[in-house]
Amino acid sequence: MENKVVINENSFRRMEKKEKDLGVVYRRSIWKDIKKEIKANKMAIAACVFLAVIIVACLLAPLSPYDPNALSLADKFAEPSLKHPFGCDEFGRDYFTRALYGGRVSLLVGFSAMLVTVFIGTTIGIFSGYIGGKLDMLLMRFTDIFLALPSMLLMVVLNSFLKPSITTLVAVLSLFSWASVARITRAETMSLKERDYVIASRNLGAGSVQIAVKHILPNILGPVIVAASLGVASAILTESSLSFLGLGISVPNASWGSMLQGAQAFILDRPILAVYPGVLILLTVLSFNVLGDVLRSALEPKIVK
Amino acid sequence: MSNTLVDVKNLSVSYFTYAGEVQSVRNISFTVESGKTTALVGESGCGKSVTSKSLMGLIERPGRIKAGSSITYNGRDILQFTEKEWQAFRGQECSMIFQDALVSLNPTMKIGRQIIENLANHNVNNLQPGQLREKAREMLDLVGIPDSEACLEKYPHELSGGMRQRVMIATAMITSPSLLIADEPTTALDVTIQAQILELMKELQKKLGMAIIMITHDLGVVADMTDKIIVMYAGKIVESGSNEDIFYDPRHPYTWALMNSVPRLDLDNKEELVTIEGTIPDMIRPPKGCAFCSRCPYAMNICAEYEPEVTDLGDGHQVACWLNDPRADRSGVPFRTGGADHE
Amino acid sequence: MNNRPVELEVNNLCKYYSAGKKRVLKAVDGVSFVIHKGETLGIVGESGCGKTTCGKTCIGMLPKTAGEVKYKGRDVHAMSKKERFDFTGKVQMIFQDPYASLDPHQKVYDIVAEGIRIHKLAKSTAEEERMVLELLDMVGLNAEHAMRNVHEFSGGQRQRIGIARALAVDPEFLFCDEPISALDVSIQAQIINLLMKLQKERDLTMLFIAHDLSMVKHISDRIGVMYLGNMVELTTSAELYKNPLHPYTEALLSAVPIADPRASRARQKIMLTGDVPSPVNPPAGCRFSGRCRYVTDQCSKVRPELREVEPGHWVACHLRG
Repeated sequence: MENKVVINENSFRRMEKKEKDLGVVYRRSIWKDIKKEIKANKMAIAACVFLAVIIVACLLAPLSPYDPNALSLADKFAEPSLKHPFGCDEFGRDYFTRALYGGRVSLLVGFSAMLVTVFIGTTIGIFSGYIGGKLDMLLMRFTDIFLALPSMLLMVVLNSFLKPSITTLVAVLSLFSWASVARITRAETMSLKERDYVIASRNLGAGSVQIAVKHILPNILGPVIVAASLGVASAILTESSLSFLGLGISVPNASWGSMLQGAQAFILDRPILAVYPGVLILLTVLSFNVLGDVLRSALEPKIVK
Repeated sequence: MSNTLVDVKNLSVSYFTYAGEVQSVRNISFTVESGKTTALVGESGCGKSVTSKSLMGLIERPGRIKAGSSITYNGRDILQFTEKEWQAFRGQECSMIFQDALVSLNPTMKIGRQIIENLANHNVNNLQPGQLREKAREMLDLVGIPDSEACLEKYPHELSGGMRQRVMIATAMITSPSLLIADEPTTALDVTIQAQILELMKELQKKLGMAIIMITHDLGVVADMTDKIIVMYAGKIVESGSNEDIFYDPRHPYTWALMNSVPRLDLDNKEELVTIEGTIPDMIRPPKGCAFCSRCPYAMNICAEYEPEVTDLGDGHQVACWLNDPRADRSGVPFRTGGADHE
Repeated sequence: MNNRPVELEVNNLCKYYSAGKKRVLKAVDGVSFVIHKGETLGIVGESGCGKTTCGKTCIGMLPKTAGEVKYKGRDVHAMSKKERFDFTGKVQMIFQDPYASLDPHQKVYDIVAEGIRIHKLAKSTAEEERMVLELLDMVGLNAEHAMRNVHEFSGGQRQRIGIARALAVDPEFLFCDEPISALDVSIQAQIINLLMKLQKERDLTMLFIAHDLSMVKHISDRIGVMYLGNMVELTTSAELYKNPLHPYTEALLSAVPIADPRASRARQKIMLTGDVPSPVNPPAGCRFSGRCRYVTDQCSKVRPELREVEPGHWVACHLRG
């Protein structure tokens, strides 16, 4: 290192202190951490790009020149071409357009089910964990029941009784998945409420609601976001399974699962019809899982000394 | 003069983290004499623990000992050791005890087996299992554990903090190493237990004659047990010298402030404590001049620009501070400054 | 000695925990003391002696098992919701761990402003802002720090933020639970000086808990020494050092390291043997009897009461009857 200052008389004068030096400050934010984590992970970048493309494409589905449900027997089982990028199904409907509309349903169901799940799960979890005691006992046994139920079987039974629609799907899906979110948030809340800063807030006279909103909620956001991203993936999968069993969205509307079910009949002649929705489900679910993992590691408490 | 056991020259250690290169230790040199106690004193982050880890070959990625550093132990350059040589070195020539005995001892293994294992790994005299056990028991007696036979069969969690620290010392000393590194051995303990452990270390040194490197942030702990004190700040040695020199003739403002920022129990004073304003510098971008400059109340213009050179004041008392330059402005400095020739 | 009114009065306070079948952990067992207005009472003792539990029970953070605590004549453990809320505006606490005691997701401003908002002390946002900046200035931080996140600060700075938060409601009583033990030596002095300055300026009453005897002696007017849930000695800080009457205090003082080799070598050291016994089902007599070098038959049978043996000097030991 080259010093430009020459040693002279002045060098040995007492230095004049300007500001009170408070030393080093470290800057760090959650969003920066997430960005950094995503950038460092090629899989994560791919997942983000893929999801963005899928979501935009599904939103723009009405721009397609084809009606997803209109029959056109002339195009029955048309091979993939420029006109029909994914070809046509057994009724001559454009498979690409149907895949986009199906994606709308799958993603909508996935996101809504996730939102409802997270909302119910978090609320019950915070209540149970923060208040504790008898209420906690009661709520947790209730949660345990839901965790112990053979959910797939019950969903099949429930869906065959109820009128199939997106709302019923979301309701049934959320009913059987809030319990694990509640478990996670309860555990987090229990550990958070013993933290010194929560105790400090109580010492300042803060009420339970104030503490829950100001101190508990922001601090359990990390695990909740992770649970949410994984929740979307599992909701999409379950919706597909239900639709595959013919219990999901009603015909002629498409979802990826119901498309898969339709393709089942022609699996030997036209296997490609099963491949498109199958691959879309696979990639979407995989992307959400990758994203969940990345969020998990980005939100893990890191100690900045 | 006593003979030098460890000779550290120009040691630099950096940790390459995602934020940048953290220069934990910056070009330090010191010696440790055999059979004597040397204290490395400084606050957290000053590089004292990293220095001791370098001596044990325990610097792991992302840390790295930089080129140009050398550590000579009994005439051998230990930085050139292979992993096998390190294994033979650790435990046999040089042992280490840590602050928290509970995490340093294996919770699933009986005390006896842990001690014997260490001895068996370095079994120079080809002792039989029965002899190993006998030796372990003798060692527990030596560190003052009552009913040593029963203790061999206990698990670490069954012992109290003070007893665990004794067991750790026994484990470290069973191979009769010539150097014991103690990294804050009493920080986690209560004062009365701390006094016991310090007393024990002094006794063991008298009996077994090993050299001790004592790492601590508390000058009080080392006051009546060290021969030599090295004060570190921000990866550098700011002052080193004999126990008497450091306590009664500190020449660096950091050493002086460190000693006067702790109220003395035996003196009756209620005035304000001497404080060191601010916090330690960021070791990713260490300051250009003296590292202590921004917190030093006597800092001069030169301190921000040039690193002070190490001045030898005679009798091994060395200090790195511009105040010891004959041209320095010494008004209001509450301690003695100046080189040996300016007295 | 101190003629000012009594701020906090603790009578025979007990705090037990159940430790399994028929086993009782007596964390605090019959502790009594008073703190006068404007005074600092230090409580020292080794880990597990119950000093923190005692402090927390005194300000009503933990329910008591027996005894009573009165703050300005009102029972701390039998307050109505309204009284309790007013109490939080008068009695505040400084925590031990500056990393755990600040919400990592909040800005410094919001942390300091929390008390002002809860107690509605500011009439407008502008007033709130002025109050927060004043508080930050008082603890040695500036306006620039207000909008930063807490994780950007070092331990000492965080402790300053914690102090500002506690002072925001303009309390009269401050409970400091080992506020310096997690800090570096050079930073400890900063915080101690700050607390002493604030106490003088605001006429605070303080209960200061620590295991570092030299710091406690520096900041306290009077010191209580605790051992295994009992208060064994209580007197002024100067007297405690010059004339320790309890054998435990004597040993504790002699074990504190002194940063002066000559003085350290010159003084007499009393080495205690053994460890602090478990507070679960402690012995019936004097708690210290197992480690005491003056132990008599009486000690293991009868528990000594805390008695005033010299004016202002209380000790619980049969030797000083």
